[in-house]
Amino acid sequence: MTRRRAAVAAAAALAGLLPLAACGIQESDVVEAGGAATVVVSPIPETRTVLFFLGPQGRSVPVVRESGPRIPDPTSLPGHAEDERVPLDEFGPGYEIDEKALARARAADDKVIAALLAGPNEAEAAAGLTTALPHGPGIPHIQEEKVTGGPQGRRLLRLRTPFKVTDLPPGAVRQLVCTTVYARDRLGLAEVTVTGPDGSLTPTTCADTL
Amino acid sequence: MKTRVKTRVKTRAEAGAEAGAETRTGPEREAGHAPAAGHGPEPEPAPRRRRRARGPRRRPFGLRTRLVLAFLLVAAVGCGTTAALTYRAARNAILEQTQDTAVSAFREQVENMRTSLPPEAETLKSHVLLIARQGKPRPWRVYAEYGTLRVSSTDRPTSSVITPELRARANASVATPHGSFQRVVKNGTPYLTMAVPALFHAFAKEDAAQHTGLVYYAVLELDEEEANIEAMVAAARDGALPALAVALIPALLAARGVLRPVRELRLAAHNMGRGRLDTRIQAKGSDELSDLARTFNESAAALERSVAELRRAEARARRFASDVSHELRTPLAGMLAVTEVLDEDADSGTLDSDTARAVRLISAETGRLAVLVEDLMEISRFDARAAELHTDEVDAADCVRKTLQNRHWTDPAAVVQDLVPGIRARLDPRRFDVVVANLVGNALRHGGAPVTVRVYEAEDHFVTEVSDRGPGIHPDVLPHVFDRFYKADPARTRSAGSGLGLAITLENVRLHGGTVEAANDPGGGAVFTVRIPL
Repeated sequence: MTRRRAAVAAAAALAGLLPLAACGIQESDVVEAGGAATVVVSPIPETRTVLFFLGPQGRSVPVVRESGPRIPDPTSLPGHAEDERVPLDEFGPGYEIDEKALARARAADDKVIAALLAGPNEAEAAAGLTTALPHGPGIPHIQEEKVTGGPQGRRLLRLRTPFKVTDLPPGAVRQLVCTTVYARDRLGLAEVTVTGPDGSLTPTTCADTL
Repeated sequence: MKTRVKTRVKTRAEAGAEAGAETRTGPEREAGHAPAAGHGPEPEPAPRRRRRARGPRRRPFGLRTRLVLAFLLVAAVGCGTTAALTYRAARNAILEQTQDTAVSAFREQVENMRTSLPPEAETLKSHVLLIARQGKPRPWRVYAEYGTLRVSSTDRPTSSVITPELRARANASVATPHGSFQRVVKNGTPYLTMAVPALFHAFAKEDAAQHTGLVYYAVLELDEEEANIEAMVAAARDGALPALAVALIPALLAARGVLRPVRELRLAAHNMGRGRLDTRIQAKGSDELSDLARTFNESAAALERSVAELRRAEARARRFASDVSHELRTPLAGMLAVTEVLDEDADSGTLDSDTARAVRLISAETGRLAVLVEDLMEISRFDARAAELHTDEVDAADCVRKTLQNRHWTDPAAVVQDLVPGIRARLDPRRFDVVVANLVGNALRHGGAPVTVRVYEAEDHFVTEVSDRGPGIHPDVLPHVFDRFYKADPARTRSAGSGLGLAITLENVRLHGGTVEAANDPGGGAVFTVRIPL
């Protein structure tokens, strides 16, 4: 090996070490690290209404409103035997409620959709939330559909709206679908068909509208 | 170091002297009857060469430099690689630990929060301040964003360190949102920025968690980590430099191990070149260099043998010539005595003319034979280095004048004298007389009259110049005029001289430390110039 080649090899070896020895702390890309945080949101699920509005960048943002106890006080409920009561998960034994009373309470779910159409309240608007849904007369109505086929436990809901739905932006559809689902289904797994005067949209779940 | 080498490379003669056994069988013994053979086989030791050979020469790219550089390079690459790899691993470990701790602590603290949707600014502010105080491993700055709401633990609502990419990732509409972090360097300060989106279960724990739209950000200054990392760099550097210094020691040892035999070899080769053929090297070990030393010793021994053989042959030849001339002298002396009587008889006219011519011829040839034998003996003395110089401080011009007078070369038409008086020189008068007589006699015999003899001083020499007006010397002959028995004309086998005159002149001048040159004068005739140092 000639002297020049040896020198070149040495220089190359040293140069090869340089990137290894890049000193200090380097910038990095965004790195995913673990899951997100799950927080407790008040008020408690039994007295809340969950509505979906839109954030500043058109993202779907949920709001939780105090809706008052939708379920009548079990002790003042007449004509029902004790054994017809079902346990309420959040409170455990002693707080069992009546299944039928629960179903009756759900009839108020249309109010939830009405609240959605009414748009964000003062505090929500102050936080920059908006709605993409049209204002107008008429009340939407949620009804349970019969399920044909599909996996067990599948629920299908139909939301009838007084306005046209086929031209709604995706954000507005998500508002409608998710609010409807959580108004009727505690697990948020039901499929919703939005039907307006101009036709129906494909049945979809809240998670699918992301 | 120098003296050590000297003791290691010793000639066999020295070794023999140490052993107390005089085993010297050098050529000086075999020089026969040469009493002044003390010169030994060492021809003039040039002082310049000796100094060069002894002085430790500094070479910019010698073996030592190259070996040391190679060692240092290997050490540097080794240390550097190790340090760099260790540093990188340690840096990543430090950063990963900080990041993991910070992100999981942050997520845990966010999970302890209780909020309404949309959150109230006041409540959120108190949350954020609480989280900021509980930062791990150190307090951090916490920011919360919901819609257009911006809340922070500092006096500024939002941080410029949080990049849009991090925000986009935190707000991404995906089925399973993740926490994320990013390292950002701003104004030379490294920061760890973290984003944790807050999720909630709309009604039931079994429900897939929904994005609340609330995102918490934390900004942690990594100055402590940076200080740690810098401390590691300093440690790596402080560790590598002594390692390099330590690498110098084996480098120098290895260089010495290689260089010492090489230096011994060089010194030995130098001694051989100066004629000390009995130089040998101590060949220890079994590496390549000791093989080389052994080969050197074998070659030196072979060389010494053949040189000794040659010298013996030469000495035999010289002694033969010397012995022959000695043996011839005794009968010649007798013959010379007889020829004198015969010459008288021839001159007296008692013999008839043919016999008288024959007698004169025999007498003349016998005289020439005697001269030849004398010259041969003189030459063999020179060859045996037995010729001695008996110097005396004399006047050069006087010497020349005396020589010419003794030979009766005083006719101004034949010999012109141009002698600068007063040049004092250290000369052997007898030998200088031979030189001048040979040159002048040669000029008178072969050149043409008048022969000019000049003596003058030139720088630190005095010059004796003998020129004639003859035909000059043929250029082909010129290089050989001082050769023994050289005949300018091969056809002319007989001449008045012995054929050794100029050879004896040359030897005599050399004995004085001078030079003699033969040349042709551009104006015609040969010029012999003798230069003898004053």
